[in-house]
Amino acid sequence: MKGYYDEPALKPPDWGWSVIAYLWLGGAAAGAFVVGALASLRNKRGDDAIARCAFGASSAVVLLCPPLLISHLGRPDRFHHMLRVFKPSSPMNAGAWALTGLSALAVAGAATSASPKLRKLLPRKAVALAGLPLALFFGTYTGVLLGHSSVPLWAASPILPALFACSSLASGTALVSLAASLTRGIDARGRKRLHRAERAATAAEAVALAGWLNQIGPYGKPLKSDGVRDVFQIGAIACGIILPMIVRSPLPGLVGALALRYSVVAAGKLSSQDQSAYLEFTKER
Amino acid sequence: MTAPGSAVGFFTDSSLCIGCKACEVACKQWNQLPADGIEFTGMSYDNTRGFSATTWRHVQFIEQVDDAGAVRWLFNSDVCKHCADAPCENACPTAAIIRTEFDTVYVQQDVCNGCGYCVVACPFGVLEVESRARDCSSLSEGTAHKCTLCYDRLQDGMEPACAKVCPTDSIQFGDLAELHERAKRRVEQLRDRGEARAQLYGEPEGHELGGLHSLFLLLDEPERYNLPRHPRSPKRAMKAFYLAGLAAAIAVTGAIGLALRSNPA
Repeated sequence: MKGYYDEPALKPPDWGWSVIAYLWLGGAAAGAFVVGALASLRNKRGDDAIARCAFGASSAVVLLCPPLLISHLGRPDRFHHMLRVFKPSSPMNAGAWALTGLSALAVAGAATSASPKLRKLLPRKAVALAGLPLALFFGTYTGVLLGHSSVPLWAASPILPALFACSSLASGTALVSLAASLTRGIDARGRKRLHRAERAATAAEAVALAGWLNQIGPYGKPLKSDGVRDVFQIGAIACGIILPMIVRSPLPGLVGALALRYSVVAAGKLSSQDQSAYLEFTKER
Repeated sequence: MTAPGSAVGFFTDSSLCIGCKACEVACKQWNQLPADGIEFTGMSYDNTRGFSATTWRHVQFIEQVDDAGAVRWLFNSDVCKHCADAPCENACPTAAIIRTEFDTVYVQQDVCNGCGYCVVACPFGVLEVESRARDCSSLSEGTAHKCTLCYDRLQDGMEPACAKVCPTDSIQFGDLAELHERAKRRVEQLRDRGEARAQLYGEPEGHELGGLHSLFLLLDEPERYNLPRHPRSPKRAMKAFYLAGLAAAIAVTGAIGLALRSNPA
């Protein structure tokens, strides 16, 4: 049914590049922490190098997140108001607490990797165990955050957080590989293992993406609009999912994860401004 | 009339609205909101378009021509719905958005940090974060704004400015239970007189948001007024979203663990 002239029924999100960058880097940092935690818990030959690289990369990238988040606020001087309450009913509040906790643990993971003295005081396995559930939550909640909204494209299917979780783990593994090739901290065998892990997560991401697109159905139309289509198809799918299966380089996976976050946020903006999509979305109880 | 602890609200009877926009003006005057500039939209006499950080009442003008060529002109003064279970309040990460002692929804300007989450949570497109670029020195800059249901006036026992100024009593303010009764009687009366499409919007029965504290009497389907027929509560699906996401995260972590274990030659 036609609504009120051509006026949108919803207000668009005013989230720009800094939020997109946060969704990307936060996800990769969470994924890298998971790799570090798994390697340090297993702790067999070659695992120490992987854990060292993973915690280093995770801590460096997770510390970029708070400034990105703070810069998008209407009142950056009030960023700490996010932590004035503990309010799990708000995914954004839950995420702010998770970011705080994960930042501390990723730094602890990197510090215990660097210093054997510190490891006597604080076992790295303890850091890994404490941070693993937090990292899984942190890589996932961003999909819940978008889904907990009135925007049809974001709210139409609960597969969105599953997609973000898979993408976080895949790009996190790629981030560890990137750190390894920059620092030469992991031997060829270890890098091969990491690439296998990235391919496994990317395969899961492909399944999640197909399921998500299938479930959102007509509400996915903005993904095909000018300005989003190329980034989504070339960036998120071709570069982010197909290339990592063929090429052994961490770069396509990382770029693809950014393209996926951009596509979902930009398409969500368009979705919020699509009057007929929203009135259709709310037609049935 | 406005004792703390009682639930109050608006009943906007669109059949009485004459489109004078006195409510828009009174709202701006009382709340010291700047003008938005004049832009002729071509949408009948509506040059306001919709809500913004500085426009909290919005008078809609709907021109209808039926198959027989008969013309009718619908007006409605739209406003924040002050939902019983408000999505903006649930989403707000700083708890800047609260329920007041009058059971209305209010953004505490000294707490809000302008994250914009309430903007996407609202099912009615009410809230907006005031842009820092705009010159609005009378407002707290960079924070989210919407109708306060004249919280300051309620505390002094006065009714909201829009209801006070409305010349036809299209906007009625009062005790919510009493407004519900009045609204039901009015719909029956209009239907008896042949206004078959007259209907209430925002009743609590079966409402996902627990009902609206801004009730509307509409003369056509809600969609004509850009109102969602069944506004959804974002929190309804939150558990399913968390479960699906975390299940995938745990499964893929298992797969990564296996892939890391394998020892390539």
